Amino acid sequence: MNTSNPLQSSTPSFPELSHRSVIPAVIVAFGLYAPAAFAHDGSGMAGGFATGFMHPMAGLDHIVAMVAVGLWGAFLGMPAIWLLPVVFPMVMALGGVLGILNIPLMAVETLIAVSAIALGLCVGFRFRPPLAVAAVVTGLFAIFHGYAHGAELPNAASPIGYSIGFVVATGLIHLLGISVGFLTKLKRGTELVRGIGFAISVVGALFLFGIL
Amino acid sequence: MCLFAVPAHLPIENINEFYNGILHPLLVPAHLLTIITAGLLAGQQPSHTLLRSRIFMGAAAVGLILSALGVRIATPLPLIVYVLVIAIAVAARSERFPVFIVTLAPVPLGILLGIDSAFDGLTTKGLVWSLLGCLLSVSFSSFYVALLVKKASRPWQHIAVRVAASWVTAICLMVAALQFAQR
Repeated sequence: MNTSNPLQSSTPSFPELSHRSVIPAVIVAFGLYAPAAFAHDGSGMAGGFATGFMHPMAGLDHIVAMVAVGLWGAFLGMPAIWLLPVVFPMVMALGGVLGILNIPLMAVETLIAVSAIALGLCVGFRFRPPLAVAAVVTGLFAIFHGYAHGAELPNAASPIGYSIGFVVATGLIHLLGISVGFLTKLKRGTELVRGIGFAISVVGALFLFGIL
Repeated sequence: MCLFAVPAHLPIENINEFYNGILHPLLVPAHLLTIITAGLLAGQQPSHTLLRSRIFMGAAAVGLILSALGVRIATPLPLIVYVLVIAIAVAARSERFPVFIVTLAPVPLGILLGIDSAFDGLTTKGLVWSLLGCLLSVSFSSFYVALLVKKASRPWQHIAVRVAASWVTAICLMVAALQFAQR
């Protein structure tokens, strides 16, 4: 097994997965998503972390778009499936910086809904552009998602706690999408994942027209 | 999560200075991120992991001595920015960088961490025990992270290291931007 340069392997390969390994992975992924029970509003570092952790979880439009990125990565295969989790948080943080610095961006919420529609359709139609195009598309959408989160940061009880919670939650949702993407290795899994992609685009459309 | 509830930079009651020193870098989020990043950097290198960990430990010792001598930094912003730079390097696969850069990179990291770990209002004896505890904690924690990374052999484990670095990058980027905006 080549361990020296996993992202730039000349013969990229996806791990061979059986249903015995895929199903537990998907179950664990949903377990990671299970929201924690917060009986009390926290303050200080704990409050900041909790607020930041729950912020991406609280918006269904955020969740479905980030899950769609993971699913799309699964369709794109190597190295996209592993490159996106490295690049996505950093680009999203750049959007967060724009929000923190109050640099105006137009129609943030609209574009977040559009991102869910577009990414969902990319999954549904198994759109496979060159890696650079996929990275730019997801990066652009990540900026708007990050902007929405970053705008809340100055009001957080603890900015660094909020940042840690926000980034960890975002990463876990992203991993959820990648894990669900492993379903493509199962019989009929591709159809299932494509169906999830279309469902995500419907959710995005519902947000876009203000129904959700 | 309960770790974050403990007030940073305040002595914890009912435990002595030495244990306060041990817990201090683990309870201050910026310092914990620094330790993790130093460990990721050292562990990601193909060779001389122990040497690079020792360089970070030595630099932290120098920084702690400077803090005992009264050297202070006004805000943790320089530390956060430097952690950001190192985390970007790890996410971009720092083992491809020139050896002298990855060897010297932990030096400012350790010094800034040490200076930012100021213990105020302690007796000389208490200060010495606090600094000793802090140094032990920083050294062992970063070394364990480096060893963990060094043990990574599967491709997905190498990716996990880079994902962790990208998370640290994202956190530091936003915190640095906020500190900058509040100036």
